[in-house]
Amino acid sequence: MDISKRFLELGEYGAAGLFEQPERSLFYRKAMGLRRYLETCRLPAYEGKPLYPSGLLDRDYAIVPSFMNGFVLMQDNRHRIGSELADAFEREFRVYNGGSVPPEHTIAGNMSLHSIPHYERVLREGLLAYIPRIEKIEDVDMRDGLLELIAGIQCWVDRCVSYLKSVRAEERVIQAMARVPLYPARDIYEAVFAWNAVMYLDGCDNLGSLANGLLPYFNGENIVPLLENLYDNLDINEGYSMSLHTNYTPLTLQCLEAVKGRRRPMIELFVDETTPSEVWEKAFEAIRTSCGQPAFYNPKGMLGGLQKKFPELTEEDLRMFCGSGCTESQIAGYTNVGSVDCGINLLWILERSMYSRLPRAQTFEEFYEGFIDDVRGNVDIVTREISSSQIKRSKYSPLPMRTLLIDDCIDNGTDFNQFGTRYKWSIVSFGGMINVIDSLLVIRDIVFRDKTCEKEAFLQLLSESDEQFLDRCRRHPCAFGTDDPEANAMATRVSTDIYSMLDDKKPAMSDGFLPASIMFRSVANFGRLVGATPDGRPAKAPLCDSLGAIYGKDVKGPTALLRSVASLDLERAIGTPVLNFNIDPEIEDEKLRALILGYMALGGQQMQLSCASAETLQEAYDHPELHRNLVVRVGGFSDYFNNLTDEMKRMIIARSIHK
Amino acid sequence: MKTAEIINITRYCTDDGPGIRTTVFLKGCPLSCAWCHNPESQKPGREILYAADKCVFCGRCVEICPQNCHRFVDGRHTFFRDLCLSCGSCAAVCPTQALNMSGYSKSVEEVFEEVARDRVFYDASGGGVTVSGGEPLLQAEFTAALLDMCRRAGIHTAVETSGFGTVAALQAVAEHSDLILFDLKETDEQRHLSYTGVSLDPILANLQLLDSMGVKTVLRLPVIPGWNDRTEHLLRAKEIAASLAHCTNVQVMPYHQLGAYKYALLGREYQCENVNEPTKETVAQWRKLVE
Repeated sequence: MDISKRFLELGEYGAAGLFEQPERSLFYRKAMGLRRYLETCRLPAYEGKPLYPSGLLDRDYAIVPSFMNGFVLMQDNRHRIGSELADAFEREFRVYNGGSVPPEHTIAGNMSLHSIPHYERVLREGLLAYIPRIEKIEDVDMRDGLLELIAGIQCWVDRCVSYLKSVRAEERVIQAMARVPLYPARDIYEAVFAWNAVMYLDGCDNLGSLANGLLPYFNGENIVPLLENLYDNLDINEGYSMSLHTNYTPLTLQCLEAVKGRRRPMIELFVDETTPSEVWEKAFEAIRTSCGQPAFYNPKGMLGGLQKKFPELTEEDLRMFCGSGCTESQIAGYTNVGSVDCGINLLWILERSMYSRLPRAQTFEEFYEGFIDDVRGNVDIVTREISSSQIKRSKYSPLPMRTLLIDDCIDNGTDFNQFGTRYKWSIVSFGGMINVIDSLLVIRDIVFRDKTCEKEAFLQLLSESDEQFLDRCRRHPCAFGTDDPEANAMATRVSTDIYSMLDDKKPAMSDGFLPASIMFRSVANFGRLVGATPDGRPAKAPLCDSLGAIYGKDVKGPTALLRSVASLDLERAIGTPVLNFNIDPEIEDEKLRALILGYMALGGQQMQLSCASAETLQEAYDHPELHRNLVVRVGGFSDYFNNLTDEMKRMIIARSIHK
Repeated sequence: MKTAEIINITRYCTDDGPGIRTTVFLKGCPLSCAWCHNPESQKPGREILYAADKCVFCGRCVEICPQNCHRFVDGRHTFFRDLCLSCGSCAAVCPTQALNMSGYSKSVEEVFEEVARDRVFYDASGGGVTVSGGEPLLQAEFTAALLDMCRRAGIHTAVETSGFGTVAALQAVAEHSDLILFDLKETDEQRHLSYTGVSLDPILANLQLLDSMGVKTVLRLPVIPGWNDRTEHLLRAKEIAASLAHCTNVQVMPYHQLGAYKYALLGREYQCENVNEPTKETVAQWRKLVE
């Protein structure tokens, strides 16, 4: 019996599609797999919500569609298909996730690939209007594959309509389902309905530049209930981000209103000195619901920085900027961005530099240059491996759905993973930056300037994670986070030297590397790889989260902290320079606005706020059942405090809370 | 080069004038208010703060003190404060910061440099610098020079004062102030003398002088339950404010106990130890009286 039939008998319809015509290209086969999935997947129950589908994507298979890889084998369900079929799948459809990128440098990502559909185009044209463009594609398998995919979507729409009729759904829901996303949206309801449907087809990754995309259909209606439904659908499927730009409209306010009390989407709100008071007010109202939304973005910094790096970026396309995955810079509808392709563990490198170079270094400068050389060596390895993985992925891991939904893949006749998109770049994160800055300050002052500790003893005490010595290191007066001019100078130097290593490098298949500092949940895991360090961090303790100060060291208040962060080379870190900032709910709006705008005037790019008092955080730690909806920002994403590990909860409690 | 004795320069102050501010706390005050929450600001000279609960009995202070102020008595670290010359050598070696020096010297230029660092936040919030204390009029030359330098740089300037100082000092400082936060402790002469150690008359005269100079003032009333929370005092303060052409606001500053622990650090008794912080309702009543 052939493989396809065996999958069919097991009810693994998507997988059966993959093996239906094994002689054809991987692109075609994945498209056929998606078609079969769409023809057969279980539809979520209609529960009277204004949008359909609503609820969880059907992922109850051994082999399921995935926006990053096309299809993946769910290891927990492997037993359902047995090793022979699992092996057959993995032989041909293996995941190309980084290959030989050293595992210690995969903080926050390992050839991860988030993206954003061109929602606006689907709304404007309808997917059926894509067919003439698809028919012009020369590659037969790609053309046929995309047509199969469209047929699958048509079938899915028909199934949804039949189901909705069978359960006597509200008439407007049935009508909208029959209309979009196959045909153009005609009003705001159909526009949001289509946005939701495309989000589901794409696998619930990101919402993109939502307010801008809906604007042509908006005539002042109250669409907050629709947006709440859309946000909940993204959230329940673990989706991520959306953006609101400075061309504010009443839709901006509604998008902010709808996020109150919600964990997702992570909203990026662009603000500047011209932002009207009603936008600030609405944003702060949302923040005070302890949902971690919105984050505040600097239009000049983020968008200006991207345009400087990629001059071909048009103003119009910049309006589609949206962080993806968490906050990684993308142009919605037009980009293939490795987000995050890898995260270099700077503290791991420093530890090795210390033990190998410090004993023979005559001066701090000599040691520093050696460390920078070591970082460069690691950057060379990592970027080479990213290129190699890009090539493998482009050959062996086509993504038909994203080829359909993201421009200009169809018009270029090129698969998404062969970089048929208009814009393409690779984001490389640098983790442990602040630990390294503080460590270098201690090495410079204690070992070389004051000579209050011999090198041998210094390394010995660190290797033993000597608590008394680490306490001394932690209390070193020159540290990042207090706006100390010397510490700031070190921060500028280190960040520029490191981020600029990517300036002249080019990935094999995209236009450039973007430096970033984003950590996700990985601060804890990647800290475990590193022994005690001169910033006072004990062995195996978490790395410092993104670009904030090491907890407890920002003792001079928020303005000093923000000036310290702004002394980093943020202009270069346009991949995403994450700053998580805790505020007390009592903080006055005017003061918070001034902190945000002041930070941006200093070159700050983005600020993610958690809003909870120290008492609330402690109570949530002690009595999780009382604070189920408390959301905090950590490492670039937002999550329920209760979802975090004990270690991460304690880390967040230890952060300074600014009043 | 003008210098001042400073306790602290605190950034992101949000209660000492409009917007986000940096407050420079000067050391030395001619008043000795019973409820003072910055008792380390009263004495003009430097002094050692000792937090017994942070001491780990390492003995480093005992070894280094030239005056033999630090001794182990019955196995406990005992600080003979009367012998202390405030040289600071003990604080410099204390590994747990149980010993700290209060007071350091800085020049106008050095303080300005620190104040100017938060310029963008002042611009974004309508904030600036506030010189407080202690009593800024005691270090009027420094205060005036710092405010002048800030003003020339476009930074909003404010001074928080008890109003007790020479006319010359007041004029010199007021000339460079955009706003004076005038702390009126009591409106009854006898009580003022008893609570603060100085007479009320020169303070009220200085307040009138400020007003005649056209300087914008905010009258701030520290209100301490059982001491100066009398209705007639608050109403009298309101009358005084109403008589001033340039007083823009009367602010009630309710008593709090945040500074109580500092008396222990200084080895001093706190007269208001048993005073309870007022309830929100009480504070609202006080505020209503002065509205």
